Amino acid sequence: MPADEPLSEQKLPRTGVVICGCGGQISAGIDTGALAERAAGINGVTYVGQEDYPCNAFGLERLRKAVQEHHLERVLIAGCAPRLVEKLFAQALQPVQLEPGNLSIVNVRELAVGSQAGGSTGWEQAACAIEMGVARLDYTRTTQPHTGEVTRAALVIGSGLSGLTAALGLAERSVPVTLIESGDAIGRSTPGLPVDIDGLAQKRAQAALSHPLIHTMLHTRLTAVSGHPGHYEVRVQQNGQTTSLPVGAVIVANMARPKEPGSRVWFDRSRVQSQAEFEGELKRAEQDGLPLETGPLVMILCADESQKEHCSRVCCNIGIRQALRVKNLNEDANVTVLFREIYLGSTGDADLARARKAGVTFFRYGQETPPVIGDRTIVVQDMLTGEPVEIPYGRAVLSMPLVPAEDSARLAALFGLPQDEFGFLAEPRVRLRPGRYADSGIYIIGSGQLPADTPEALFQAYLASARALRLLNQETIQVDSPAAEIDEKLCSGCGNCPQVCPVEAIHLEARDGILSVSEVDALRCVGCGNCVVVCPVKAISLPGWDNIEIPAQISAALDERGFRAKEKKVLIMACEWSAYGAAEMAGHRRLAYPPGARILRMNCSARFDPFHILWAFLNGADGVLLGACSPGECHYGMGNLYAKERVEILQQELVQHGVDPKRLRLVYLAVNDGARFAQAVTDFAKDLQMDGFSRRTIW
Amino acid sequence: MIRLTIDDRPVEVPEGRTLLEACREFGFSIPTLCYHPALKPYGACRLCMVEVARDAAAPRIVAACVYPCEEGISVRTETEAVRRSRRLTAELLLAGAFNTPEIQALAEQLGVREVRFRLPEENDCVLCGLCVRACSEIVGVSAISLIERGMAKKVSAPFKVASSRCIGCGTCVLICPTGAFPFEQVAGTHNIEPTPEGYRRGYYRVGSELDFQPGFVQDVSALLRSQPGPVDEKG
Repeated sequence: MPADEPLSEQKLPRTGVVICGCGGQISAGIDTGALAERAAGINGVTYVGQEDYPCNAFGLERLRKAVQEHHLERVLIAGCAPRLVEKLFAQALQPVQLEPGNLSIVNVRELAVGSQAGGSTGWEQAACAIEMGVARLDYTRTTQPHTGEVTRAALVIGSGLSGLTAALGLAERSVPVTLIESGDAIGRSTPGLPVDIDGLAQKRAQAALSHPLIHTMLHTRLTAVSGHPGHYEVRVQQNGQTTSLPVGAVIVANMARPKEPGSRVWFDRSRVQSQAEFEGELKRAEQDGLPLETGPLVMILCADESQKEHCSRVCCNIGIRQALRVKNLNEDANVTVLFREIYLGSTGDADLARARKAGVTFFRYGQETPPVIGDRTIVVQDMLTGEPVEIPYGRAVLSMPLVPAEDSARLAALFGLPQDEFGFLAEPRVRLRPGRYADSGIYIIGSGQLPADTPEALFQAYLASARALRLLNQETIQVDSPAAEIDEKLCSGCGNCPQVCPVEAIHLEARDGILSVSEVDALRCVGCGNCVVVCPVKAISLPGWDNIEIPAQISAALDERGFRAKEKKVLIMACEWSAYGAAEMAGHRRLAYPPGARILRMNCSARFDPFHILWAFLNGADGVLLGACSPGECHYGMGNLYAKERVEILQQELVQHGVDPKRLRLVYLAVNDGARFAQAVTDFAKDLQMDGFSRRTIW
Repeated sequence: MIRLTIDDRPVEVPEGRTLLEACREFGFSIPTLCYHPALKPYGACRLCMVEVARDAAAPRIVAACVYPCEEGISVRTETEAVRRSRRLTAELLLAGAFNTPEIQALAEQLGVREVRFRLPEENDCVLCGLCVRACSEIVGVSAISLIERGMAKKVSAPFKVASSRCIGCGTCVLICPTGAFPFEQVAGTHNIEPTPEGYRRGYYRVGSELDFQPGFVQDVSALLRSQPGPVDEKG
């Protein structure tokens, strides 16, 4: 479809285009005058400005004036990286009431001038970028920012050391806290194990009980969660009674529990015990002064298979301390410690030295040769000598790994949290996330997310309470970035979208009659667009990345005028967190790639819609290259994996329709990898040139 | 309006503009490295030096990016003193970043013929601070900062480990004028790897910053307990 025919009869918005010379960096490479002429010829463009530095205070002033004088409804800047200057221009245009959604920046400096190749000056790429930008602005619509009230109250789940510390941290800053505990007392750290050496948890439990702002609920379970960041409605059940609480933030500090020994191997359980079981006996002996009848005592650290993968942080300390306590009771006791690696944290070194002085024997075994518990002896392959050592034992004490509490899976389901391979809860995408969206207000600390020792638990608790305070101290939270919107009239209630939402922002709501309808919580939405792709009736839209804006840009990108004869037309749909950044890096480093490449900036690879790809082929693209983040690095969770799946399915479909599937390719790129981007585009274009590569029409 | 002259040309500018903005507006080209229009001026690279004279006083060399336009001053952008200052700066930049094409081009443009200095190690980072400022002013997360002092000064996430505040947006990479930005060091790689069953953690523990116990604190738990925290206040 030629760019000069609008999609509908409606009047095009008045658009202003400013072409930046970038102090010669752009204007020396391409003829900006001709570019301005071309821009002036685009339908709807009512103002074209040429500036050396539009980002300069003077340039911004002139831009504001132009918006007012020419009554501009849309502004396009053809300049440099949108990521860097978008905010600057958006702020500058605020006084003249131009919404940020009506402003678009296209990168001419890096994507056109920087990528000159094969005798191309980059002029066509620049002209095309401007046409794509105007096409997008023609159909874009702005949305109001989404706001939500913040409830200044918090829920803390679990009353171990970390939970208590976080609760106190918030209560001391006058945030009312509800502390729920499934057991019958608070302040009990990991069941059965002596982790609370200094009685710190007990002290904090006392402080929490007497704190006026901490409401403690025992025998209580969480049963339901709804709402959005800053305001969750949680339902808790205590003794069969359900209460609803409004809270702004949730701190999950549920405890880990030691695994039961002997799940895989048969042991004589009267002689082979876990640390927790032995602790009970040891305590009784210490308190009542009874003799401890153990015979030769062997403590095996890292005694479970699964400990090869995660360290439970506390058991080495406990084992060594138990060995010392046995020695304290009876100086002549024969105590051996078998260990693989020792983790003592920052506090255990002294105990280790004391244990060695007291005559505790240590043997180190390798990961591949765990100790074998026989009837009378334990055989261990000593790593120092390489020889097997046979140790007679009267009692063996196994350090069992800490595993997630029973309710971890339930909490994960309630909050929509990911779990790791051990079943511990994970905070979703702490590091890689789209900026500009709201903090979820759910924090996971202590042994809920992986076993933690005392300093770790404290540190995490302080950190989580500080992060929660930052959220709770706001009166409202505001999200300016676009969120998915659902047209209720179109929604068929098929239930596709809630399944693919990475942040559980969509749920089905009952409506009159049989069908249900999807609803988006705008404050939870992160704007990946996955739901837009899976919606079978296209009832969902995402302003800025919508089903009309993207095809309009594709049509503009593939306009015949911009290509030389026999030049391969390659449309690159580039996720802005990876491939788009890489493309800009390639331009910045002046790495050339074929001039037939047209780059379309996308928000996430989850938004790569098969129908957009087909639209590109229909518009004459020789190939479509999709650029996504590497697996595990998607800013929206798993958008890149969805993209991969969709590409594979679409490739099969293409074959059935007589189109070579090699015309569609997905590459993973890092944001700083300009060289790989240039290489990927070059390789793709070369493969498209190869003989026998039939280019048939799609229908 | 403020009246001043730039290279003998009288100009008028509104209040609050810097010399650099005025020079660029009226077509006087000034080289810059650490300046970015989207960020507050920083005055680190000293390439934008110009000569400012007021009345009969002796002219001074000032950084145009941070110097405000003042009534009646006379600005010269291309005197020998200015050129010498810029040349020396470029020469010093080349001392460390001698293999960086951007710096080489800049030095050539400013007329550097020979380089008298050389750092023992090549270092493409010229400490312009653009990445650090972009992270705080554009992205708003402040995941990185300039650490150490003097020759050891460098860009890093706190404690020299992958930052947990970093959102991996790559703004730092895009704004870096020399392509030196150590993105992998700051952002880390593969922190959460999706598997069919769920998420698999990489080396970085989500939510826990304590894996990176600062080495200079011997005993973090003692330190934390010695702080007058909520418990201790209660007794």
